[in-house]
Amino acid sequence: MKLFYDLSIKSKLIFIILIITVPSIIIGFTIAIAYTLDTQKKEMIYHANVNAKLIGEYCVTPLAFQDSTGAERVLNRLESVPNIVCGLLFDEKNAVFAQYHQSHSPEKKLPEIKSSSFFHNGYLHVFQPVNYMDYFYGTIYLKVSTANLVEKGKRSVATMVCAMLILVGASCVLAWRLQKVVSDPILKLTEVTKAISNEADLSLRLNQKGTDELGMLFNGFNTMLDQIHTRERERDQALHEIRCSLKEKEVMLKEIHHRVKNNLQVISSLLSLQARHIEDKASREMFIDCQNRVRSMALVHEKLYESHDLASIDFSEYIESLLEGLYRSYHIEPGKNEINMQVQNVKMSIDLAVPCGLVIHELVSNAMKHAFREMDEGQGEIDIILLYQKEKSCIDLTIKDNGIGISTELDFRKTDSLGLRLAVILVEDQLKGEINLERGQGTAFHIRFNPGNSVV
Amino acid sequence: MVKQRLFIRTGSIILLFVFVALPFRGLSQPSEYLLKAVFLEKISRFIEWPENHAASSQEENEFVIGIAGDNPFGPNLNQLYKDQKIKNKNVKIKYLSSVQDLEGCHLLFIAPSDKGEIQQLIQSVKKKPILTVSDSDELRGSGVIINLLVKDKKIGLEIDEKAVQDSGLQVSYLLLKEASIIHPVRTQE
Repeated sequence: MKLFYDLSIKSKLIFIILIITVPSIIIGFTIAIAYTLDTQKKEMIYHANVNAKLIGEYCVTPLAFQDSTGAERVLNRLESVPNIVCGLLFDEKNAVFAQYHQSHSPEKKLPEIKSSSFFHNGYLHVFQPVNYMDYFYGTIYLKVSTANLVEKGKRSVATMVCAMLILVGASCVLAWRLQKVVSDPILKLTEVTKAISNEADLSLRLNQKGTDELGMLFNGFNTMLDQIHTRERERDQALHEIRCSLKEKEVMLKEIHHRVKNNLQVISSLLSLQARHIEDKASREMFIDCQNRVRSMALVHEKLYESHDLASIDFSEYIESLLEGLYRSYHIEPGKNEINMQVQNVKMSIDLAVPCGLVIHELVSNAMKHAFREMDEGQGEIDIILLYQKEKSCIDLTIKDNGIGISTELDFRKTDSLGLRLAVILVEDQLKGEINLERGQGTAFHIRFNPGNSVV
Repeated sequence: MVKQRLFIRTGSIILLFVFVALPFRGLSQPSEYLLKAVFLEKISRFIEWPENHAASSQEENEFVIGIAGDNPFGPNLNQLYKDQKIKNKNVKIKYLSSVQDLEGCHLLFIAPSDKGEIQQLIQSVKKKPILTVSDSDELRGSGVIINLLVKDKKIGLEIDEKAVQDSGLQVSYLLLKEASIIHPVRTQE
């Protein structure tokens, strides 16, 4: 049955038509052949009996007047019937009265007189009583060859088989032609569906023929395509409008970020200009710190409008730029103090990038300013490690240095240092994370926070 | 006694069939008439008499054979039809002495006799349903219906179809087929 289901629609239809017609034809012709053969046999028996009756009637007077010569003369008329090979006339005492033999050689064994006709050994044996006016005169026996019957039967069978084969052939041809009425539209439908799937060409349509179920299917298919096509067009138009709108918004957003960055840079420049006129070193450093903080924020906006999606920035690239700014700001030549970066490449949104960047800026600048004061040049090292653990949905940020370290008596949460206080506030309030200090050989700040959906 | 009668009857029948069955070369007078006597019954099988032929109720159950002239059969006829029936009727042999005796006869065998008497007899049975049979060449065409003639050492039949028509008897085509026909009657188309 699985094999049948796997057949093509054409093969299925041909198979169904043939499985109905061919057995019907075979059964019909078998019955016809059997009926023909039976009719031929009955006809032969009938004709033999008629001949026997006629001959018997003509033999009444020879039997009555004991004229065996006359009887033989009558029997010899059987010569005109080539199938009759032998004719015997028995008198009323069942003794042979006259006989006829086609081959002129008498029968070796006389038949036993019976009351009916029967086929035996390739011959039809016919017995017919000879009666006239209630007088029984004897019995006529005819032996008829069935060669003609067999020949006729063979011809009939051959004709029937030929006719049957022609009909089966005609059925095959008709099945092949008729299946097209059903299969062609379905194949056409399949072909068009395939073309639409492969080429996404919704302009294709089916030519509807007739108003039957297939016609309705075609009509429905075409209507469905029309609707899809219309919706596709509407969607494309809407998409185009959305893209245009998005483009406008992107431009606008870029412009905003650009302006924010420019404004922040203006603030940074103002702070820088202002700092130059401050003679008090501590105050000047405060201005420079503020300027750096503003710059780190401006850097986020710069990175944002340079990014593709205007929503997130490449955080490692951002830190690199941030550090370059810090080098410039604190007049540190590259190679003087080494900053090692192990920052996992993550994309971070502005909500996270600004506080996170400020925290790194505060802690790194704090280390640069205080950690390496009593150390020889080139011995200071700062490690920035950022690890995003997606499965735990957390970011571990470690900033450590090999500097002099923070005094054990100093609580970094309650220190006067604005930078440290700012870092704690940013981690705990804005990033909703935790910050821990590790004192050892140098200082290490361990920060952990949940980035939510702001990191990719 | 019964056994004896049965033996005699069986013997006579066997003898009769031996005579009938064998081709009769050199027919002797007695055997020829015995055969002709048998033929009378055989011929009767192919003849149909009108239903109202019988004159009396007694004659209804009898088949009357009349013998005109000198009886050529001798005792054979009586012996033969003593127990045998014709047309399922008992057989009565009637030796005619006058034309009046013809009454009730089904079959009349006319033996060669005085020519004048025979002609008178033939004239009187003409147009009567009586089967006239003779075995004389002289009576050919004289109005006798069936003439039994020996030809090629066999008894042949000669039928006067005109006489048949006049008599009102029905003769089977099978018998006509076997016989020589004189005075044939053309059937109107």
